[in-house]
Amino acid sequence: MLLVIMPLIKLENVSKVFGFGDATSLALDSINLVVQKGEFVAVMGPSGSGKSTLMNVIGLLDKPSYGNYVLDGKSVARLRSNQAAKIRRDTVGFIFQSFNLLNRLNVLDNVALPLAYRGFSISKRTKLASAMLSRVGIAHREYFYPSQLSGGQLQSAAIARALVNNPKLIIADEPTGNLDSVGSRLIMELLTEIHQMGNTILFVTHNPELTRYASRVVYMHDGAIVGDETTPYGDVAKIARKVMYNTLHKTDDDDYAGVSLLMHTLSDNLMIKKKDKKRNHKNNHLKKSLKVKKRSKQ
Amino acid sequence: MRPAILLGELKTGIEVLFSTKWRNLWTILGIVIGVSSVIIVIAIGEGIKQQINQQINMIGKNNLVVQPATINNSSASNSTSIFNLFDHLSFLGSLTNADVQVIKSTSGISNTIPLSVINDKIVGQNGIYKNGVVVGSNAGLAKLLNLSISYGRFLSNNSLITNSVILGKNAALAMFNEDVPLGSTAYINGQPFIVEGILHTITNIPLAQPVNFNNAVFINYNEAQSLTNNSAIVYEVFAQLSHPSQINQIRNLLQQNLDAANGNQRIAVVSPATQSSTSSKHILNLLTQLIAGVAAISLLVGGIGIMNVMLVSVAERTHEIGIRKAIGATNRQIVAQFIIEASILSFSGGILGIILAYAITGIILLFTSIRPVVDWQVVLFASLLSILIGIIFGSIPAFKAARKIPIDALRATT
Repeated sequence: MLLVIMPLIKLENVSKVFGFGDATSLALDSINLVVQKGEFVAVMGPSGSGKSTLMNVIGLLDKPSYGNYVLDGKSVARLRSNQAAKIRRDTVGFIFQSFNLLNRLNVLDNVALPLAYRGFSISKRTKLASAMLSRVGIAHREYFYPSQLSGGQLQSAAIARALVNNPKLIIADEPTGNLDSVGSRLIMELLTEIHQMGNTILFVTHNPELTRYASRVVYMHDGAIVGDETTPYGDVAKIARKVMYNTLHKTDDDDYAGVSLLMHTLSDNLMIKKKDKKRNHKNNHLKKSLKVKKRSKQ
Repeated sequence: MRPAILLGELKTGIEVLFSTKWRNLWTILGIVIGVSSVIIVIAIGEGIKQQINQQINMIGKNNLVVQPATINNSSASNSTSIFNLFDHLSFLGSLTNADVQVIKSTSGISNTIPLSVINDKIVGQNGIYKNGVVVGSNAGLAKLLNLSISYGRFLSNNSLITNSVILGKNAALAMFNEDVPLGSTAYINGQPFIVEGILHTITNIPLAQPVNFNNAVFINYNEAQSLTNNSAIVYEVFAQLSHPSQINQIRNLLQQNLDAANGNQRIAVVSPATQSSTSSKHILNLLTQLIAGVAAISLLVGGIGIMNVMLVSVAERTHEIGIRKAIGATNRQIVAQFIIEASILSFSGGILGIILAYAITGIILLFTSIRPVVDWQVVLFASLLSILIGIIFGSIPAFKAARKIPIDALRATT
């Protein structure tokens, strides 16, 4: 028996053009990308490099202007909106930076919504959604409304919603962008857990630290993929490390922007001095009050 | 679309609509007014028809009714329109005493009961009585129209008893200080009449009779004619048949005799049991059509209101539509969601309209002599109609919502 391993995602020369005439901008520039089943891909790059556009095209929220896209063995670059909706429903789970839960529905109904669109009965979808919520660890918040939850809990609920249809692909566009460090860790560990169960995950991030969780890191710049490396779990990816530790060095970009390194460092120093002054002032105040107390005792 | 989805959408739809309930309440006002006016108008029409039918049944099968011919009783019976509505209301012409004599002398007729009205001055203990009219008839009228006597007796056919007057309930109260003014004297056109009977309150049938019997005073037909020198207006003559089985022959004979005495078609002979198209029914149908048209316009305006509020709702919830599409809602499911919301909106308007209609018909029942009849079929029709309005007027906003491109909708800030 011949076993053909088919990639889950295969982008061939995919381009995306926004606007027309003189205002045309190239958001994606001939992207070629193959993602196998079970990969945990981090997509990095500066703002405006086309990361989100790439996610939208891969998640069938947007159509590529040119090129070919095969998702799970089906060519999906030129689908009608209804067909795209069905594939989104059955194959893709979305996690957004701003959570995008429906505020009018409680957490349980939010998580059950993809099942509703699939035509499950109310009892069945409630059961499945409830199970998924306990899997992401917020079973005790089932009947809360999104406005009553913390950021980490909201994103957990959003992950439960993305997972409830058992999708082959999970796309997370800066899932930790609105979270503090505790929430970020919670969410990334949740995603890692899901990945270890065999799901394919694509996520966009600005935080080089988060590449520790990924098995592969893709770098984008001006709509093109400029770097692609596999990275062991637990280590910051090589190029990400550069981004992390080189921020204080003067780059070509800084020159173009007319921002000198001196300005960066100067302003940082100034900030420190101000803080020190404040601290000293406080201390003086304390000392004075102590003196007053001593005097009164005498 | 499976029922499970519909149920879920119903639930969320109701929740969504409750979140903007004041705006929605004002929006459905048009539907409320439209639905309630449809129900009320049909209920009033139905009520009056039933009252007329009751009266016809009361008059029974062995009577003919002779009326001045109106347009719809002749060849132009189906051409009644808004333009000659007022001709009907003015009730063309009348019968004369000569006609009454013709009817009396026609063979096969055992008894005639004329109904005439004269507008002479009535003076009671409290001075001139202005609200009522004098009805000239005879003893048969009480039995025919089921008038019941509360005190004394009704008119008599005995020629020895003269100058007696029977008072309607309200007339008795207005003309005299006593509760039971039997034996008192009332003056009609200067002539003294003795009060010999007082009637119970009579349920008046709107549009079906020329005078309000509660306000009327009744005297003998012959005396009414002599008071007015044979010029009293005779509105109707009821002719009792000696052989009810020959009703058609007698009617034709009577019609021939009357036509021979007068010009053609001036007088119509109607048998209430077989011919139901009386002029009052025509007026009623016409009014019903007219007000139903107004109600339809009101429903149309209400529907447009719902369309507008749904368009606003779609614009406000663009982001929500984006989320729903991102997690896999098809265009059809988005359309269904918004159409269901619009239908809930208009249906609740329909329900409120039905409640309002019941309340108003209750008030009509309490304070007027109209007896409205609310049919369950009409209520069902009204509720279905309101749902239909929601579906029709909700579909434009719904398709607008479904056409949104998911990525653009997701980027919307609301």
